[in-house]
Amino acid sequence: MAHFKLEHDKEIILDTVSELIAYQDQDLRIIWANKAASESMGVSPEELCGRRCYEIWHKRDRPCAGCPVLKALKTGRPQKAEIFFPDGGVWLIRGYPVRNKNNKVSGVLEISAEITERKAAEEMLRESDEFSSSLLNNSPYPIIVINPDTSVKYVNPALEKLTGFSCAEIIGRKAPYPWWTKETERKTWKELDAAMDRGVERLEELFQKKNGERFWVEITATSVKKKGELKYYLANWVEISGRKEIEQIKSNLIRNFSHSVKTPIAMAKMACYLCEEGIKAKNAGKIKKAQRMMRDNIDKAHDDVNSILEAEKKGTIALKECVSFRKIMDEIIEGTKHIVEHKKLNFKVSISGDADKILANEKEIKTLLFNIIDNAVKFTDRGSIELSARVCGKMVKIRVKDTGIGIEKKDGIFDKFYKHHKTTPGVGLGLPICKEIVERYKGRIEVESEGAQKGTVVTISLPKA
Amino acid sequence: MAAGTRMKRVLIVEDDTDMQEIYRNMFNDQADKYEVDILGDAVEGLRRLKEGIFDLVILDIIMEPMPGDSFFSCARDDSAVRDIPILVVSVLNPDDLEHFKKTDHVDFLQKPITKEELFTKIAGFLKA
Repeated sequence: MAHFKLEHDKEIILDTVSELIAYQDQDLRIIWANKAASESMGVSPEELCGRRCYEIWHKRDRPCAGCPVLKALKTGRPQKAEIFFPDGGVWLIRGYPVRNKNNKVSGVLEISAEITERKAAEEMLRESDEFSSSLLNNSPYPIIVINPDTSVKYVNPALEKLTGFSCAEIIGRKAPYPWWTKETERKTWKELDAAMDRGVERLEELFQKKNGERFWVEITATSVKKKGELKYYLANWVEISGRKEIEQIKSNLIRNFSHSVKTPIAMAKMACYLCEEGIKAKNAGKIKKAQRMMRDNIDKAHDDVNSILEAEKKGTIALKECVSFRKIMDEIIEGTKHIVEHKKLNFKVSISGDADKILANEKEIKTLLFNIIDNAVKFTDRGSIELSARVCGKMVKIRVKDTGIGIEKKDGIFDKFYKHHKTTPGVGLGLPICKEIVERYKGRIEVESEGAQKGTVVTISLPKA
Repeated sequence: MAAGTRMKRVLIVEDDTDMQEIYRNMFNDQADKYEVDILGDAVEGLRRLKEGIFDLVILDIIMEPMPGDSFFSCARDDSAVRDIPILVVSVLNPDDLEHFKKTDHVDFLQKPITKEELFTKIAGFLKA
């Protein structure tokens, strides 16, 4: 009686589940099937008995390729497979070998469940993932994803291309990141936590590539949170080096233009004062002189305004021109001659023929070279100063080597107002100005010294004309 | 000028010839108080400064090949002339000359200037 109740309960349980369950012999003939299996074919469980599953469900005269039920029979181990039906349905079919008292496989239990909807959802998710990945991977804008502990989770190919650092070099690295400059590091380190929490919008930063070249980016970033907890930080960069260069050029242009116009206007105004004095003193000579000054300076201001308008019309504002390096050097050497002679320094100049022409704004190059030579002269009390220039690929490499006081610590030498010691001559602006000019031309400036009293070598690279 | 009072020597470094003429005119009726040297080149100006004895330098900034900044820097570097006051007279806004403000004995006037403004500054330097 108890045995009968157990069997009955088993049958109820097996008939309750929605999965199709069929017990088959070694010939894959159905010995027993549950209600779900028979209802799937619209027949009674008894009508299923003796028939093969591939005949009933697949309308085939032989097992399906990769049939997990057959595999389970052959291998003696549970097997499973996803089977796609012509009507678009997808089923997960599992085969479990059944062993007799002698532990020999005597049959197989087939359990089948329809997973069509689940597969469709998985496919949609996969397509969605692929779509998202393709957006990130194919975006022309560099994208970086950072974990809450500041380690890099993901960078897209655009970021690798811009920075020159490979994915392998970046993934997993924590701040400070290799593209941070020293200035960025000082500024950004402190603000990083707050930025990761709040996100940033259109923040401009100066970074550096693996090869040292600097570039500007505009960063827009957002923190991605789940249930109030930061999951990761997503940042999108837009490279704006070109725009910054144009802004700088525009700023320089406006500054230079305003200076060049302000000067004659100021002179014209002062000539008015002179004229007033002349009139008061009834001094005809003074009045005539003042009138001439007013006229000349007003003409000059007028000419300057016209030139800039003409150039703007033609689109030929010549910011860079072919500059003779040798000519500028001759002027600077002449200007420092008296100090060089006074200190009895040996000044050697060697400029290779093809290194004479550089593509730059003449005034800026004069300022740059004057500051470098001036520093060398200022900090060298005995010995020599050697200046050389040669072509290196597309650049002209200029080298100024002195036997002066040298530099003990190079940290901060390009910072404004930096002085090695408070008694160090100068106000500490020469090198920062030089660096600014060189970087504007996408050149490089390097300062080397073996230490105090061991001289200094400054090397500058500028584009060849 | 009172007996025994030395004339004040002023070195003017200004490359614009019209401005040089303005200075000459301004100092013309002060010839009993000031002896003026006007030079159009900062390199030459530096040499003269170190050779002579001057009470004041009036300095332009935008000059070539040596700009006024470098003249200033070299002058402050030399212990013999470091303490000579320098009046910077330039078309530049004094706000653009922040780096000078960190040093002593320096003042600024932005062009255009009047005679009154100039001599008020000079008096301020030379009285102190």
